Amino acid sequence: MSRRHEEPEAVFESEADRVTAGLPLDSWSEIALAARPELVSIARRVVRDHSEAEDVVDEAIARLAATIDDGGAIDSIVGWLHRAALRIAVDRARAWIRRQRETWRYDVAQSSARRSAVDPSAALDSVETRERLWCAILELPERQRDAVVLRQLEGLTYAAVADRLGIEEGTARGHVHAARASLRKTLWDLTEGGDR
Amino acid sequence: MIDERFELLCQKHLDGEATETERDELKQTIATDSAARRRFDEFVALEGLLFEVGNTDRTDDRRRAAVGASHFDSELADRGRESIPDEEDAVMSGTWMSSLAGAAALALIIWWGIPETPTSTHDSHMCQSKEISTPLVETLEVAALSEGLRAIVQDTEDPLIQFIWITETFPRKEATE
Repeated sequence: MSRRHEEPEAVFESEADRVTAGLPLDSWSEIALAARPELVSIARRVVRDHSEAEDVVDEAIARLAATIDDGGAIDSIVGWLHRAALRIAVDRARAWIRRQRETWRYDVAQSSARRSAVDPSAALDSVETRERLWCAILELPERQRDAVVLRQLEGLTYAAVADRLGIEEGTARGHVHAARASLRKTLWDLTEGGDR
Repeated sequence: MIDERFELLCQKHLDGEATETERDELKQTIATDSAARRRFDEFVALEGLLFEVGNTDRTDDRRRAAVGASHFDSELADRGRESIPDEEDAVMSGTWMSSLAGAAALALIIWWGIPETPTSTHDSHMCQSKEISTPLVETLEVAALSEGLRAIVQDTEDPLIQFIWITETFPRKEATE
């Protein structure tokens, strides 16, 4: 079932570049433009394709423009954009996975004959486990997912994660900690049959 | 003993925030408790895998097709695993354990310090221009080494042999400086 995008709440706190609603067009667009490289980098971690990451960010910026045009109150342009871009990116990644199912099944059939010719352990170690982990990240609760993407995949500090998500640093740590625990369990359940 | 404090220490260590005392405590624990060692290995393995996830292009179809990257397709997208053939389950089980063997080696490298090596692909500009944490930079360098290390170390299941091999090959940073 396809999930619709949900617009992030329009109010954020603890943002260094907090701006008020009613910002002139050139001001908010300048902020968005300045944030764009980081947003594209983060979106690429999720959709894992640079061109689509750029599309994700452009869509987030377009939504921001529409929200401002509609008179929506936004305390943090950068925070709003991060959350919107992450949501759009996750939805696109899920959609891509759904589209690829049949292709992947075909790959299995085609590759089964080749499997004996490769070292399955080494090959799967570097591809399959990573792909499973990617899916598991996409299915984490939203705040955990966003925090782990920013911290673990993008490599931001906890302070920066908190800033981008509009939350306290301690809360960001908690989300990352919970996400790590969940992902470790997922990996073990997938590979060990959850027998511990 | 694996408890909340132990897991917190693992996380602090991987975040580069553990004090020397905490590192010693962690080191002592994993040296004397195999379950704790295994849990620590899980932390390190996950760290490496997360790094790889964040640096992989989804359109790398050649590699995917080569190994039949497949059975993860619907299981998480729909929040429900489809049945996985026994053969693949068995492969995956072995895979994860192999990953742990590699992770053990990686953990030791992190523990002993990252050697200066011409094989490192780390771009030092990354950590200067962005808010990137030291552990991630270390992980980046470890990742550059991991493939070759795994190929060698995963054939050896004895942790002591792995430990000796790693420490002999990569002495502590301060010892070489």
